[in-house]
Amino acid sequence: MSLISVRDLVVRIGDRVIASVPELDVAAGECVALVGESGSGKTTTLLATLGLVRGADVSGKITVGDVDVLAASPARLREIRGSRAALVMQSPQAALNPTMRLGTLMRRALARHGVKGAAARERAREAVRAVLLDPEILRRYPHQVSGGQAQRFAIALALALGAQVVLADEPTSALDVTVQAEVVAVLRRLRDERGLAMLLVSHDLALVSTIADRVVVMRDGAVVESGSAADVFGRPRDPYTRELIAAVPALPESAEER
Amino acid sequence: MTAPALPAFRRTPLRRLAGVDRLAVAGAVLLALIVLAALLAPWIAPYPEDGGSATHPLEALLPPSGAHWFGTDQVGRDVLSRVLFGARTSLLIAVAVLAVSGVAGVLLGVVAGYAGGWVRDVIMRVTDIFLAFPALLLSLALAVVLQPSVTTVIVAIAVTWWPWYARLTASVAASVSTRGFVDSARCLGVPAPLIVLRHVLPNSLTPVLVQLSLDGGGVILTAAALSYLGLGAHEPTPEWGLMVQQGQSLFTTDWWVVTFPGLAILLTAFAFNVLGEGLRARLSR
Repeated sequence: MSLISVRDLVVRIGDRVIASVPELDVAAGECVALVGESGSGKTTTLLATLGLVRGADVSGKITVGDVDVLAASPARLREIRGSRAALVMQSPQAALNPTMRLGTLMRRALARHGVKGAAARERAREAVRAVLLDPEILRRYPHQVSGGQAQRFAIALALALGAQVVLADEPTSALDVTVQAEVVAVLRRLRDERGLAMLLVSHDLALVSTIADRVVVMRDGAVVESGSAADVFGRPRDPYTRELIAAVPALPESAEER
Repeated sequence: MTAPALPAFRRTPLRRLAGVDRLAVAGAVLLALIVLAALLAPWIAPYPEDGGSATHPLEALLPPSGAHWFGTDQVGRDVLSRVLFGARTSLLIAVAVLAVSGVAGVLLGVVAGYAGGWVRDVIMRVTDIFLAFPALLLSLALAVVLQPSVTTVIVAIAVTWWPWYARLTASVAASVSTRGFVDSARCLGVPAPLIVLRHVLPNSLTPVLVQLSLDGGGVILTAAALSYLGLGAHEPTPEWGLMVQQGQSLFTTDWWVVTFPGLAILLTAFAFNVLGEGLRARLSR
C-alpha cells in the first residue's frame, strides 16, 4: 500500500502551470526520486504533498496515509505534518532556529505531537542514536554542530515524531562529499530497517542512483519519464533524461547493476 | 565529534577592549553610573528634601560652593540634589516609553512581517498614518489634551514612538519568515502563533534592541522638550527639561540653574547613543 499517493496534481500560479504530476506513488520501504533541473517543479511537487505550497492554486488529489491533503482542515494538516510525514531540507543549519538548543527544539516538537516528559527524553535520545549521533548533541545550539550533524538531526527529528514518510529536498546538496555519503547511508538504513517511505528531490543523479528505487524525471513542470531507477538510468527513453545523464561526470556503476 | 569552537579572537580581552567594543562599554558604564545615581538619589543627594517640595527662600540662587556644588535655584533648592532626583524622572520616562512602544511595535511588526498579505497592509497603513504626523507635534497635541504629568509624557511619546519599531520589526520579520527554520516549524505542524512567538520573534529582535538603545536618548530629549514647553512634569517634580525652562531666563546672571540640568540631559542622551552605536557596530555582521 502506498503511503503517498498523488493523482492529477496541477500547481498553477495565475495561468502558468509550475508543476503537473499525473501519478506518483511511494510505498513503505521505498525511495522515489524526483529529478530535473532547477525550476522543473520538483520541489513544488514535494511541498504540495504536505499542503505547503503558498500563493498558488493546487488541484488534484493527494493522499498521505489516509489523509486527503487538499481537503483536510488546517488542524488536521498540522497533525500529519511531522507525525506522519516529515520534511528534511536542503540547508540543514538554516532549518534549525539559531536561538534554540537542539534538545529544546526536539522536546517542543514532541510535545506538539503529544509526547512529554521522560518519554520524550527517551524518544529523543533513541532517535538521535538511530542516526548515529551522540545524544550529547541535544545540548548544543545549531551553530555548534556541523552540516552533516545538523542534517542527521533533522532526520532524527522526523524519526522521533514517528513519521513513516520522509520528504527530502536536496538533502545533501549543501554538504561536502564525505558528509553526503554519511547522510545517504543513514537514509538508506532507515528505509531498509524501519520501512520508511521516502520522496527525494535532487538534481544529483549520482546520489539518486545510490538510493532511489524509482525515478521520476521532470522538466518545465511536467513529468517526462518515470520508472525504476535501473530502467531510467540504464535505458533512458526520453532525450531530456539522456541529456541529464550525459551531464553527470561519472555515474557510478550501481545504477546499471540494480 | 567536537563542536566547532567560536572563533577564539572574539574572546580575548584585548580584542574586547579594542575598537567598537570600547564604545559600547563606555556608553554602558556611563549609563550604569546614571542609573546608579537615579537609584541612590535619596541617599547620595546632599539635600534629599530638595528633590521634593521643600523651599529655602533665604538661600535662593547661591552660586556653586562647597555646600551647594551646583548652586541653588530660585527657591533655594540644591541644584545637585534636583539633578540627581531628575535622573529618576528621566530614566523612568525613557524606560516606560521604550517598554510600551517597544512591546507594542515589535508585536504588531512581527505579526505583520510573518502574516504578510492584507494583515501586513492593514498594520503598516495604520503605522504610516502615525508616522505621517510630525512626532513632536502629535506628542504636543496629546499632551495638551491630557493633564500635564509624567504619565502624560510617557503616553504622548509612546504613541508617536511605536510605529518605528513596528516598521523595523516588520521588515526584519518578513525576511526571517522566509528562512528555513520557519518552514521546518510549519512542516512540523507548529501553529502560526507559536511560530511567530518562538521562531520569528527571537530572530528578529537584534536590530530592534539596537534601535531601542539608540532611542533612549531621543526619548529623554523629547520628554525634556515636552516638560520645557510646560506640557509634561510640573513643579515640584524634579525634571531636567522643566529645570532648564525655569532656569533659562536666569542664564546671564545665575548660569548654574540652567547649565547643570542641561548637561545632565546631554550626558544621558550621549550615553544612550554611544551604547546603541557600539551595540550596532558589534551586532551587525
